[in-house]
Amino acid sequence: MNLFESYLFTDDTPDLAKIINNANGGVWEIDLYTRSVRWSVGFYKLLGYEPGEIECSYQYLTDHLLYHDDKSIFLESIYNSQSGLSNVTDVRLLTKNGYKWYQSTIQQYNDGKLVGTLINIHQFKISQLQLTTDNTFVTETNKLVKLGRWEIAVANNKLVISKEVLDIFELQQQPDDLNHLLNLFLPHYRDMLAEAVQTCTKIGRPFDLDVQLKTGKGNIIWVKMKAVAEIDEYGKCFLVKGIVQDISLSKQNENDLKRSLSFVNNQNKRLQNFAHIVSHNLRSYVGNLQIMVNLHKETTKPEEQFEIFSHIETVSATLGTMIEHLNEIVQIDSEKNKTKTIIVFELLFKSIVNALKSNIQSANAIVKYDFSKCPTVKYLPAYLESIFHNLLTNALKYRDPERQVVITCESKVENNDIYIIFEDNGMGIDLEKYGHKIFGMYETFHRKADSQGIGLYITRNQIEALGGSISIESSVNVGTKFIIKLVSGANLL
Amino acid sequence: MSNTLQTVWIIDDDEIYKYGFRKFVTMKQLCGNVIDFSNGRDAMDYLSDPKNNELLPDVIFLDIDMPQMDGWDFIEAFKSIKIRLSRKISIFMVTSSISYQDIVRAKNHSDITEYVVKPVNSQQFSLVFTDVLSRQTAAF
Repeated sequence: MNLFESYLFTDDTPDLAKIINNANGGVWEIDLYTRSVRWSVGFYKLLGYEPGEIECSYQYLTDHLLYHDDKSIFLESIYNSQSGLSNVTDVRLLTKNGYKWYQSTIQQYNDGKLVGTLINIHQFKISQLQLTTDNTFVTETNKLVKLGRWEIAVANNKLVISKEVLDIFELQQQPDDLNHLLNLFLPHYRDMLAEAVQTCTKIGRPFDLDVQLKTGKGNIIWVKMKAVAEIDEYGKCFLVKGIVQDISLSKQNENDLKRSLSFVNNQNKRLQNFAHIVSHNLRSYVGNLQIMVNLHKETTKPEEQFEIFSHIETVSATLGTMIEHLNEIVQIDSEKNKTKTIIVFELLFKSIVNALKSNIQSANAIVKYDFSKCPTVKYLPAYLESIFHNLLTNALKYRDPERQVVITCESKVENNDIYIIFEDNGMGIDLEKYGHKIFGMYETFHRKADSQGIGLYITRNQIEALGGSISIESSVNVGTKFIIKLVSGANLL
Repeated sequence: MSNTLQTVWIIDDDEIYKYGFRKFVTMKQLCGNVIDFSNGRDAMDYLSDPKNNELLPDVIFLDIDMPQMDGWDFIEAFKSIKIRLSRKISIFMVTSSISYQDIVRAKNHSDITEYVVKPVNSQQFSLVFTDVLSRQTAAF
């Protein structure tokens, strides 16, 4: 091999050998018969040494330079080497500055010599390692935050989704196209998403939507669909690039939070209302009492004193009633934790109608009901009784004498919520004016002697104490409709 | 000028309060004539009827919370008819509402002379009447 003798080991070398020596590569040779070994200048330099600085022997290579873990694979590549075939392995060698990665290529020649080359691949190896680590990191992170990637090529409408998307959507195989994917989403969100994708393709507007879908396994989940447009030099979108993230858990938390917030808000409103009643009504009664007592003191005529005293009696009686009312309101909250039972709407309603029979007859009213859509409810019997009683009394009291009185009561279920719809064709009420006061205490809106302004207030408190809500639709001289959500999120059998 | 007011109106749905008011005014001889209304609507109907132009009050004591037409609606209606009235009327808002919004709204309203919170004791009452008298005198 005059390559080594004449060129590689002397200064007087042709360009080719110089290039090899400087190419960050090293060459070594072993004579399998004589065991004699030669290393090229580049070999030494590769390891950070000058020629002759370290011992040039086969044993030194395998025992000192080669990293112990890589020894077997290296030796194997030597033993397995066949003439004409090159054996490539990645090994670590000890340089002057520690171990580095090299690619070793070994080739056997017919003359019984084995020639190996070493190339420095340390940087490449490190980058590769880093990349693998990064990829694992990204995959694990994606899994952790339940994140997947998807892309739509605008030209052919081709959809590409990452494995994570399949996992999130619980799909066995890639969806054929965008429509297939869109079909998973609940109708309302499907349209919303389709439009967003279209707008993104057309004018490049990014989107970020929280939408609901039904997974391959039939689970309903919330996901965040977020995408941006990639545009070409002409500003045309050629790719819609997006992510999908499973946000069911945070959405659920958000909803829980919203629910408890609205509960607290309601409670707060009721407390405020209660405080207002106490301050407003008690003040005026106590004020009246004071005025009367003062007048009584300052009057000398017995008949006037008698008259004033009768007023004092009236005020004190009213005050007593009011305290009773307040007590009733306070009790609503303390009673709400009592045991609920399954109530058959029809039976309870009938008994209330029966109790108010004389009122209904004197009003010549027709009372109709239909509880077929939801025949039963789990509720506090006393509350439901009171609710029906108050609504019915109210409808009879504020009837329109010009018309045949018709009162209807129905139950229904909507989105797992149980409703009662109570409707009359009575006097109605100007909601624009009194809407905010209608369920307040001691609010009366008609000139009627027996208006106390307590019934609807108690009704509202009972309904809200059990987590429901009451709303009203009404127009003057047409009638009034109460929509009562008795139970929200009922577990229906 | 006499040192009593000619006519005073009280618009309030609280019957006991009206009775007490009337009794008090008569007893103290603060005013010759007290007329009461149970809501803003009745008072406004009376006020806007040209027939009654000679029977207008010097002062109106107005409640806020009332059925039919409440105090604020009355003030709004009053604004549009006051130009046609034969005399200047002072309006006192007398109410048990201690709502901050109500108080601010009343203080900033040019048609409302004063905002008085119920219960009004006799001292306050006398003060109000003196106040109205001095205002009326100043106007003449």
